[in-house]
Amino acid sequence: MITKCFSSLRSDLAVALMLAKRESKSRYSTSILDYAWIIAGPSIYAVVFYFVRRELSASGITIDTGGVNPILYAFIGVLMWQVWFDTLLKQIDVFKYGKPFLRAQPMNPEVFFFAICLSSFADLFVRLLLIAIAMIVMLEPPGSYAVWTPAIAIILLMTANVIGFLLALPGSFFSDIVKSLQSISLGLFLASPIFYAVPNDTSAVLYQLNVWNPFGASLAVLHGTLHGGTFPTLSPFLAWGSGLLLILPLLILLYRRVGPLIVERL
Amino acid sequence: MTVLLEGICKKYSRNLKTSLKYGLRDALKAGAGRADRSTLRTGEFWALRDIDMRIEPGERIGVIGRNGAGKSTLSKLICGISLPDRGKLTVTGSVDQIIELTAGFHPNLTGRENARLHALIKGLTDAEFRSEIERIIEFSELETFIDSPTKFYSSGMKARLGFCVATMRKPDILIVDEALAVGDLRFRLKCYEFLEEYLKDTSLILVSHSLSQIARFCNRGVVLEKGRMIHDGGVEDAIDVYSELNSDNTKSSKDAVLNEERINFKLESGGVTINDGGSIRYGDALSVLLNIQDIPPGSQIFITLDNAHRKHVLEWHSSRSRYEYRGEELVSVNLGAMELNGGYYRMNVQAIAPNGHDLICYTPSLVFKVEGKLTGLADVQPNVLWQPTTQALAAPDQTYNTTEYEG
Repeated sequence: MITKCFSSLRSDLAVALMLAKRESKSRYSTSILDYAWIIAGPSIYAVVFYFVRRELSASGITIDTGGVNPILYAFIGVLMWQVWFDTLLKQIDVFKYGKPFLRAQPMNPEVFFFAICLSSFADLFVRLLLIAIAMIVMLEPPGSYAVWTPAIAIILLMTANVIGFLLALPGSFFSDIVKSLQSISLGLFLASPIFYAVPNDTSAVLYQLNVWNPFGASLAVLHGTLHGGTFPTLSPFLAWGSGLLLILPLLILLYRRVGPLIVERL
Repeated sequence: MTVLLEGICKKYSRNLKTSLKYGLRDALKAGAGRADRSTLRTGEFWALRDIDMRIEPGERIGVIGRNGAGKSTLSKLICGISLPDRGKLTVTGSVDQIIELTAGFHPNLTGRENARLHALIKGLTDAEFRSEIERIIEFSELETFIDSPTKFYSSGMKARLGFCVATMRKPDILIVDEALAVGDLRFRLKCYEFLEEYLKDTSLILVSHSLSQIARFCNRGVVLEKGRMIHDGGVEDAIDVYSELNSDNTKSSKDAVLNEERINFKLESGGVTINDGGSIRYGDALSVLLNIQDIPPGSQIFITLDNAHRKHVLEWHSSRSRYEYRGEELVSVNLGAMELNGGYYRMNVQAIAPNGHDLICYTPSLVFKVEGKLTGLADVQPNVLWQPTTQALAAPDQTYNTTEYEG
């Protein structure tokens, strides 16, 4: 069954690569700043974060950045959050993305999953490069586990892709999932372990929330590799990462079977 | 290559939210291998019911039916885009579908890039695409636009590119769903010519409202009505059955009428009155007797003839014949010979006020049938004199000058 599932993988990947190229080419084609938007958005967030933090500090509320430059801290957090959250939402809407093709010709739905995957990895690569440049420019020393950052980031993004793909089944029929995620995105962002260090108190609710849920586990580990400091337990991250990768072939088979049922209702 | 449909049924829901709810439930059940979608739930209806059909290699099947009859549903099922809810569908051989010609085109990408993406989806190699793109550019006549973003294309240009892209790879079975009305007449004729060659060794399922296309391309006709197959056989018989269906549609006319009591009319052929739903033969002469009340002198009166699809076929205008209405109660109009395609037609009479703008009367339609198996591209099929000649074709400078007519 698995062999059959991946017999057309090569041609599917070729189409996915073309779709990903199309996506990246057309994404900024109507803007003046073009690809500069990759850096412009997080930079604005970082500056806002700097001023908010300064005002809060004046009122006696401190945001602990673990000694990292606050602007850099926010910049890195926003860059990683954006690519993660965008990927998640795009995968939930994967059938809507592929709808013009799927309604006109018989195709494997996973082509569009792979296209979003490739597109998100390209985004990740650019962002990691930007983070490295920003750290050099701001003379910020890398964390002790920084060498693991790319590998952790890839697993992080893979979890976003697979979780999104998993949620695509209900998400294609009802927009409530995307709407709920979007409406709590600011809260999720501010409470996510990419923005705040996972609390040292392992019995704290926020620790449990961030470390054990499939969304937070990989973000928490990435935070550890980027900024050093307290490193959360790896087991939930590895469990979720490997678990999600294992269910991917099953999801592909499922969507091949029920894809037409989904597409005809869109 | 064969396609076998055994007791195929397909259902849809009328309500969006119910449809989504059922859809999610069905998808989860199908995923768990417990799919039983064979019964109707609240708000659902059968779009296709108990369709049995076998398509053999080389057959060209025309699928006709009124809107909502299930034609597109049938084509999507055979193509594999949709799944049947009941019955068994077996398809051996490759299937391709020409349905939405511009589906999947990205407006910011060039015609060439869009074509490349579709070539990949169809499984063409780079070398095959390189030779195909030359054909596409030449055939679609997009030499100067092929490297421009498709958002700058006119709808006709997009459709031309779409047609060429859709025919990049030759399948065993081609399904064409209302997609042959591409571009202008010249390009359409070019497409027809191309398809004649393209369809050699390929089975065709043509879904169309155009009876002339069905008659031109198909050797078997299927008529669908309310999801059921009511005819499967010869093309001409299928066209007859479909015409009958449309006649029912026109008889139960819900047309708007205006001051219908002001004009009554009677249709006659050779002294015999043609009643609503009656028939004449090809070439029979028709005349109309108008009984007019309360129409001001100086009004313009005209008689219109529409085909079963409610497209105007002919119009007899009082002003065109230089007839000035002076308030007479009875007026007779000799319409001449009705050299029309076989099928149903509807006639009505209208009157325009002397100011030339205001419609003051619009009568209900009278439907009649023209008997005959002849089905051409146009509704009007004049019987003229064709004969061999020894006279050479005139050189361009010896052709007649254009004669200018008044009005």
